[in-house]
Amino acid sequence: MRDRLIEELKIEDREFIREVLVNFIREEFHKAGFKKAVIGLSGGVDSALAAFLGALALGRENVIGISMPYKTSSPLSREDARLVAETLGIEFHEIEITPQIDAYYSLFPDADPVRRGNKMARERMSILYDFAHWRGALVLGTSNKSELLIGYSTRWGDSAHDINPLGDLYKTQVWEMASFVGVPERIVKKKPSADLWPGQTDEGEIGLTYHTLDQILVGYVDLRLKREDLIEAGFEPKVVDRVLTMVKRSQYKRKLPIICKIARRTVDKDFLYLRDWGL
Amino acid sequence: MKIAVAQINTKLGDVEANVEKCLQFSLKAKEEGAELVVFPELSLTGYNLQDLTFEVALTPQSPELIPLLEVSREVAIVVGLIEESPEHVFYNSAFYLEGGRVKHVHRKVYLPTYGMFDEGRFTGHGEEVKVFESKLGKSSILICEDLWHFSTVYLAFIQGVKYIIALSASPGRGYKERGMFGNAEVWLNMGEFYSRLTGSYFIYSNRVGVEDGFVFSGKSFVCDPYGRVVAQASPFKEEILTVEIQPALIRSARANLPLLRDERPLTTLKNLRRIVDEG
Repeated sequence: MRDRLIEELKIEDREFIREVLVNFIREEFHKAGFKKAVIGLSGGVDSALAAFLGALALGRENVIGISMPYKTSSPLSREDARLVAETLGIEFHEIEITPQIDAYYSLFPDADPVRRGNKMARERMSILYDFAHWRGALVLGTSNKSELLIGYSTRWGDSAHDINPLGDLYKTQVWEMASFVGVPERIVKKKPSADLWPGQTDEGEIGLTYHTLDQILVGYVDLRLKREDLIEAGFEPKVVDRVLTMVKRSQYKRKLPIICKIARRTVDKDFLYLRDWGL
Repeated sequence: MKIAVAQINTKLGDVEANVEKCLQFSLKAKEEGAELVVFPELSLTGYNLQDLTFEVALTPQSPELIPLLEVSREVAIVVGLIEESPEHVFYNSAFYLEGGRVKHVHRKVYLPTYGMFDEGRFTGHGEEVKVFESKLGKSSILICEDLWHFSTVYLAFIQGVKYIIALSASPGRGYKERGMFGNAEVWLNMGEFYSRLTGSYFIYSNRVGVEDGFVFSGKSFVCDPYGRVVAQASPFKEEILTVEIQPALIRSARANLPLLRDERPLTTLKNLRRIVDEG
């Protein structure tokens, strides 16, 4: 069964999937009346892949990359964000968020790192949407399927965007696709980090490797396997339970606010139209 | 005699725009010498209609159809739409237009209501699979999920169908094939299998385009009665496939493989009765 899970994650024809994603971006942008994308570049592989796909879909002259470091962000992250923009030849801005973050936390000097990290993620979102309005663009998302499923994101922060080409690619598939489309190798190879505080790594914080996480997720989500089937496949029960709990507890992050029904038709319940209504 | 398969994108919920597009493609099909042009499922409305179902419904008498009815005097047309019955039941239907009239209606029998599909929530299911005389000869129209139930093809077969006209709006999924989505590969398998076993032409018109991230998988095709793919469209682009139909091949295939002659519908019926009676 373990082999079956590994096999399930393999993308047979990466060129075809690249074309699917490029077409998706182009059509969703154009029919909504937009030709420009704004994208937050962290220096990591997700935003790099999203930027590469965005440039293929919309043309490099229509993609605006913005790096938004805080004073503790690693210098390597800054460099790699710039490297993505330079490799693609897209418009690039580096906007320090240190002044506004520090001004706010001067009121709360004891704030813990998670609280500060969330605030930074929302500050970046706010800048991306400011640019989007200013430049008549949509925000291209960078959330992959692994992080969406376990809720490894800041609500309304990095999880907020308009069009997301990565949302059905697990992290290990992001690596595969990124390497295929030509994201610089050092970005694909480096350890994933949200870089919210020095030394943070995703896998350290989540408590398992992306390879293990993705195999459990693809089993549970794509193949609808039961907890027992996953344990049978050779995963430790406590690891399986940890992943399934993260999926369940983060469901709220994948949903819009809930509304209390009192009328015949209710916006979030039985007023059912796609977003592409009339487009 | 030539036929055309029109692989198109649609505008969700905008009947007027979709009628106009079908009109343009019909004129182009006529220019290419086709006697019949086949459009995809829900070609006049778009696919993921949800509550739009009740806002875009048409009847055979709807004035919106007049432009297409006019052109049908020169080229016969198969289009997909939401049909509203006199009793106000809504169906996912296909109309066959010829000589300025709606000459045949097929109401989708099997409505996928699982996973990403929710058709049974919005539309009623048809009860009949019929053969009718199209410009080509004995034909049956089946819509998407109908074809995943081989009983519908069997019913067309024992009525002597020579041209199976298959409409779909099949959302792409599965990344295990080369150059196409997994579902497109299944459609190809079905076309090759059904055409060979019924000794009929299998004419498959599928959609392209994107609705809220559902990427329709294209790859429309025509199979001859020997199960050979004689024309095939691309995965993403709107296009017309024009194919020269060779009725002699139907005769040839059936003389070599007389499955229709040897078919025993009464044996099937006897068994069905027994199975139903035994509960």
